[in-house]
Amino acid sequence: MRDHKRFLAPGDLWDTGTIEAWLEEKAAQGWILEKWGGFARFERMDPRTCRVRLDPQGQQEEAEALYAEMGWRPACPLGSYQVYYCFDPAAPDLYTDPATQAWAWSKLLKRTARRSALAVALWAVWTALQLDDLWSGQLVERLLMGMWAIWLFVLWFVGRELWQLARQLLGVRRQRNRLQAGVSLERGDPARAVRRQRRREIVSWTFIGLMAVFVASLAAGRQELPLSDAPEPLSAVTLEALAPGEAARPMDWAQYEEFRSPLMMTRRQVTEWRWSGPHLETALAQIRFEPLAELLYREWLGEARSQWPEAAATEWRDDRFDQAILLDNGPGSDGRANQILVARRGGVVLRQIVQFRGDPTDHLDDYAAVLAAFQ
Amino acid sequence: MSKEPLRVLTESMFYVLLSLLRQERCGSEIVEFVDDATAGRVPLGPGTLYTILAKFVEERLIEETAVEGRKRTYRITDRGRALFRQELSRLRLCVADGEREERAAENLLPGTREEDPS
Repeated sequence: MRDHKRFLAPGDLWDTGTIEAWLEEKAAQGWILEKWGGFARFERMDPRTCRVRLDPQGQQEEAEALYAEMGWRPACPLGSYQVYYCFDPAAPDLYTDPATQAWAWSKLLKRTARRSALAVALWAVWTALQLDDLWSGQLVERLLMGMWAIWLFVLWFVGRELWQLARQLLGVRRQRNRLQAGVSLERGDPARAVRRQRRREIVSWTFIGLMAVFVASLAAGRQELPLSDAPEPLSAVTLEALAPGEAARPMDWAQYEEFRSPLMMTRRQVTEWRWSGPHLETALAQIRFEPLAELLYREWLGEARSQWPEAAATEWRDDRFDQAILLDNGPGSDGRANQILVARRGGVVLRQIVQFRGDPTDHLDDYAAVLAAFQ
Repeated sequence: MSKEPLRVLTESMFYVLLSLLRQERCGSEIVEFVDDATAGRVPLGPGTLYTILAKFVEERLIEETAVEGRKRTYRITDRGRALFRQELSRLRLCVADGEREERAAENLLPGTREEDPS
């Protein structure tokens, strides 16, 4: 027979009457509280009828002796309260005067308000840090890469915490007001409170589980390969096709990366470069919803324009591309052209950043073929 | 704890002040005194007692005179005595009002009503 056991506990800490009733039920079943938590830990004892009280003043060393002398034995802290058990039916209650009990609750209300204000400030900072991508200038790309789920999770989590804080604050205030009016604290149905908490736990863990599955699927959807092992058809017009002369010597880096975001997008990237040049980086995003592809096209173009505000722009719109633009920033010190091509057809968007001796516009049909291959 | 000064005392507060009128006492002695003085009519729980003591110290109605380990002894201050007297006067008025109204009500009971001379 186990000497310790955990039970799912009621979650509304301001509803002390219901928690007290629940702890008294547990004592009658032979369990005394050892440590509070979502799943509170209990120690086995002989089943006994007793009174349990949650003292909002917390632990007071100088009062402990008198509490013990009058039959009240401390168990453990429970949030802002100290839990006391009394097995002597003749002993006076812990609080015998609602007006003075209201003073203790007024103090608790002030502590709760201060902690809530601090918690709100910390949650605000944490939320801002989690959602900083919203202001990064890569909103659409991050959204398509799966950050939408993280943002939703953060909003749900913070919303839930703020809702709990508000309920706690209002609950403590309501209890204080009752006591000030000379009315004792009410006791709800412990079984109902536990059922409510179980529903909350199920919802919370379902969300957390879904989030974990989503993150795992993101991790599983990522792969990196040498360019020579990249799957066909290739998602880029390679340097070999664009400038065979530049590609004659081996590259220092030739890599293929693939990232699959559930529901939204598959992003493929091909990177080729040598330390001494040339440099080529091609990203191809295959998006499930065409309006989002158009938004990504605009975002990539905006990024390119902010990178090279003086670059000359040439635009195409024909049966090969829904949208296509080339930004030419002129040759660098090594004589290689610096160009960015952004093109879209349907739900597929391509961006190629090049630095090589050659002209990408001579290969527009090759880009169109890549876009068509991934429709 | 409320910053409003105490004006009216509850029964528990009244008896805590009362217990310190003649001598200094610690918490358990206050409980014992109140229990004897009221023949158990006014129960004083430990939470209530320590909340009252903390509030009274904050309001300077009582003060600590000795601390031996966990045992603290308290005595009433002049301010505490003044509040006690004020509360006693208020209670006397309450009792007087109550007795007057009770007598008047008794006079209105059938059989005790004064005859109308007309």
